[in-house]
Amino acid sequence: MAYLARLGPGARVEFGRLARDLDLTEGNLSRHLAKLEEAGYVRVEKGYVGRRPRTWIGLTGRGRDAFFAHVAALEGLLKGGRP
Amino acid sequence: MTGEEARRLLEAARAGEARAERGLLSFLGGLLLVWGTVYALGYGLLAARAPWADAAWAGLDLAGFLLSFALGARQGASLRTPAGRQLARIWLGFGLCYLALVLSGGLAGPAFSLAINLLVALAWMASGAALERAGAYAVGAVFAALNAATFALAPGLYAPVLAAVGALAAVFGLSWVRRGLR
Repeated sequence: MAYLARLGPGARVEFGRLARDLDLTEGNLSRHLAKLEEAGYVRVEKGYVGRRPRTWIGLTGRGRDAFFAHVAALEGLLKGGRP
Repeated sequence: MTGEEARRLLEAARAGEARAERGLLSFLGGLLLVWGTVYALGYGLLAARAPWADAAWAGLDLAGFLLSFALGARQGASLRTPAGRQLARIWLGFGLCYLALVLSGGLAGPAFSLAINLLVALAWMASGAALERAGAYAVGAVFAALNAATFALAPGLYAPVLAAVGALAAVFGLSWVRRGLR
């Protein structure tokens, strides 16, 4: 989610690239994404680049909100405040 | 949750952000490497007063545009962002203005170079604004000021200075590409 959040709102990344950049196997990434999609945090779309099928992953607004709230809570905890 | 756990989770989030950043850095580094090399060679030939420098420039520009297009297409095949779409529009606009300047035949020699380089500076500033990177915006502004100052105060040094700027950009570009691949 951090990777997707850094790309900004509306960004989409191709599944294979995401797996490579995160050093995850495709199976492992699929399992992570299935859980995040179920929670409504990521959007998975099928499409084509030329004739090649591609799977695109993007963060939903809910996912962005959840990620930044999570980071803010962690920072708050480290500063000694309540998470 | 303990402070140590929070620190570990925060570090993991920062590491995820850094991985996304590396991909962008590698792409921008590739463009900087291409155009830094084009400038270093093109202006280097002009500075050396090579008789075929103008013909070489045409070839270098064409190679630069083709390589940039290939890099952009490769990036777009696996990553699509609103900022990326803005960058494509900005540099397409630059390409059209470049073509308009060439086809109009209104400018030639050093004046043509100055006009193109000011367009490059403007496109860099627009790119910096699109990516919300003050550093990239500043690079464009400094490039415009350097061009204007060298052109006005030391026209004989215009080509050598631009060749040096190109070489410097190529070195930075290469270091960004290497950091991006790490």
